[in-house]
Amino acid sequence: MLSKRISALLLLSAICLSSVYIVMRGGFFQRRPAEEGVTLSQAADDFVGNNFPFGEQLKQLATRFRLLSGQWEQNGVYITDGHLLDNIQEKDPTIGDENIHAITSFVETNKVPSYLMLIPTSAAIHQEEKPMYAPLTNQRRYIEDVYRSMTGRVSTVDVYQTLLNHREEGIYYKTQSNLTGLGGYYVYSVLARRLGFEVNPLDWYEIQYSPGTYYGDLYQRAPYKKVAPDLVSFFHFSKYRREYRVVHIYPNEVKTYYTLYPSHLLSGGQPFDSFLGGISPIVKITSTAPYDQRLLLFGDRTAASFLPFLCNRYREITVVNLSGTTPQMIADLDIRQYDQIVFTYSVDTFMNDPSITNVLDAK
Amino acid sequence: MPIDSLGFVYLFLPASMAAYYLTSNRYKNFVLLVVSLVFYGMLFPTMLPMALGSLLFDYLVVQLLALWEGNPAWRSLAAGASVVKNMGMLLALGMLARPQALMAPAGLSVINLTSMGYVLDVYDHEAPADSSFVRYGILCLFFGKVFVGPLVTYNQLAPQLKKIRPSLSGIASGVVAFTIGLGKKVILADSVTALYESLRATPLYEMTSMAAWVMVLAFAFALYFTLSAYSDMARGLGKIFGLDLPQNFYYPYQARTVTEFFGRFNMTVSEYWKRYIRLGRPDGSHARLTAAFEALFVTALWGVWFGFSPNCLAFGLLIGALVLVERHLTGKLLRAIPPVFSRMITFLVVILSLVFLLGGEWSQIAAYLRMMFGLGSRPATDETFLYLISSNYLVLLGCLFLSTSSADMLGRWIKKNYPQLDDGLTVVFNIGLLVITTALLL
Repeated sequence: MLSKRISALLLLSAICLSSVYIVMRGGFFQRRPAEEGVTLSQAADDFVGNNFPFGEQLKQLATRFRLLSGQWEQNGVYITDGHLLDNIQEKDPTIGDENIHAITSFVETNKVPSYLMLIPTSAAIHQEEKPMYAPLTNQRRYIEDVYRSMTGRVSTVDVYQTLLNHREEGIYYKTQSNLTGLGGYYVYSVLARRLGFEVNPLDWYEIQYSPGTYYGDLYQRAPYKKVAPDLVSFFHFSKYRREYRVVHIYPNEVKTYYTLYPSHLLSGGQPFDSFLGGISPIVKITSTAPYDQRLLLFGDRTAASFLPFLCNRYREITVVNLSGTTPQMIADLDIRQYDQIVFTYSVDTFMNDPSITNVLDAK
Repeated sequence: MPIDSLGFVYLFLPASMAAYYLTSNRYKNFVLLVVSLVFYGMLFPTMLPMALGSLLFDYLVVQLLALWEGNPAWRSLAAGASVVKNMGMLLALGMLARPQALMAPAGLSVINLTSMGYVLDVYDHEAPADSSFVRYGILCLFFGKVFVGPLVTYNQLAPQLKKIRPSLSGIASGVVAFTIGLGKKVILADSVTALYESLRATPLYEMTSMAAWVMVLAFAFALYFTLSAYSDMARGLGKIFGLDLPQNFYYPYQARTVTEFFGRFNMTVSEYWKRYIRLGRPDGSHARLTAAFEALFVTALWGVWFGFSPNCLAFGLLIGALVLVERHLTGKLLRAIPPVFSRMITFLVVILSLVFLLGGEWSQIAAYLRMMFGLGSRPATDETFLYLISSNYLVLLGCLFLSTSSADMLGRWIKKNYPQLDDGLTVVFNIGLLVITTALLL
């Protein structure tokens, strides 16, 4: 009976002290506007969750506990010793079909040399690390099927084998679902040859590393401390002097950077957005490179990994993120001024994001 | 907010305990009723007016039953009106409610059945007509049990409400019981429910026979651990607030007969229907037939508790049929063979019966049963199944172990032989359970 009383005393103390801490920290007695679509119950849970003492440590404990019970997949992320792998799945097969149709219609209408590049995710390239028997979408087959359906209409760029060959070199972040700078270089090297120009060798770049290490979006879903945090590396073109202007265009705002790697974003909690400042609805990159060609690129955030290499080959690159643009922004694009067009997406985006069909708004 | 949520454990519960214990004994019941109303309003805001209206109606019926003591016809009319109202509401809500992954009665079911039971007890002169709306309100609406039960009678709860005696030992027992129930729900029930839902989402043409077995096994554990966890939490909350609620589950999966299983699973619900379903007591040859109909009626209503659907009704009737078969044919045999074999046979029969409770079309249920007996064209296993098993075998083994009294027996052995170790382990276990449960909820 004594042990029960001691247990109860400790349990009640833990609950009451935690409650007081939560209320004091969260400012419970301040008036808060009610959020739409959020029930009182959910709001209470969120309030407690966001203000719980040692919340981060407890989430890691939960991840460890689930791992001990054999659950190597948590919130759609496979936990391995080396990487957190996002288990991407095709939610609706019609989305991919519609994206194929939209791109081929656009290309047939505009008659500008166009290329499609699908980039596999880390889960495909590091699939030998996945838990035994774990199902994984066959991204190689998916890419081949998409490319086959576009034969003769769009030129395709196959980076799968190249990334597979270099998989031990740290080409994907461990905790973020994206390519590293080095991974971006290998993608650029394949794309450059397809676009018809020579690849700048790696020793033309100086590598600078971020001052700290970071945990990415996959870590937020599966906080497993044994996976090492990521170091962000920046590849500065050093062979010749170059100046850059990166203009981010939003529906109601324009932001300009004069560097490919705005370093203030490292400390602002968005380290992976320090490549070009992220991928806004429209990004226009101009450089002092002695070339006249203009490239139009429809892509997602994977493009940020290889664009710093590509922009030394064009006078201007316009990057369009179709998931963030308004129809007017797309309609205002003057397709005829571009010499080449590239559609570049991660397999996950191409498979599941229907906004790619917005390309049909372009005239 | 559900009683297994962060908001409940770390906001609502401490606040309600503070409100209750800072109030003098005279007003504790009133505070408990207010807290229960607030809880129900937060959980089912759109149903609160209906719940209050229903309670007021039955409260008035009870007062009328007392007032019309010498008038049997009017008393029958009043009681009949209450039964029709309550059963009608349950029927309407059951038909309108969306099906849920795991059948659990909505709060109104617990309220209506408790209230109807009290009306019938007063009608039968088995309970007094209490003029206190507060006591009556707590009987029906006590927030700890409103979600899933257990069902209680007036005679079980009223004496405790009339003489409130919160004690430190009661609070201690209650806090520990609540924590264990919470751990059972979050650690076991939620994990095995996720496994069940993964397997259930597998299309029939991709399902293997082993996957079908594991799916039904996972469903059986998910159902048991979810409902029993809520009942444990309800009992724990009851003790915290000075109420001793009845036990609702007693290791049903280690029953030796289906009759025993029926008596151990959701006990208060089966007792409730047995108490109030009376088809008369004819003599001679009609007696056995009437008893059989009564058994089927009771088990059918017990089955419908899990959800108002033909599947749940079929499950209840099947259990009833098996009870009758045991009563007249196989019962003695099952009790004669060694317990381990009778338990295994009963567990197997119960698992197969639970296929009906999975829901879905009859053809789907038939397909699952065919698959389980290897009559489909699919192989026994495939990679998807092997992956799910490799990720969840520890959870399944844990559920199997904890669904029997083995853990209890082990605990008692340690307590008897190593009392100090038992004390230490108890404290560490309870604290560890709260920490891990909270971590998993975050």
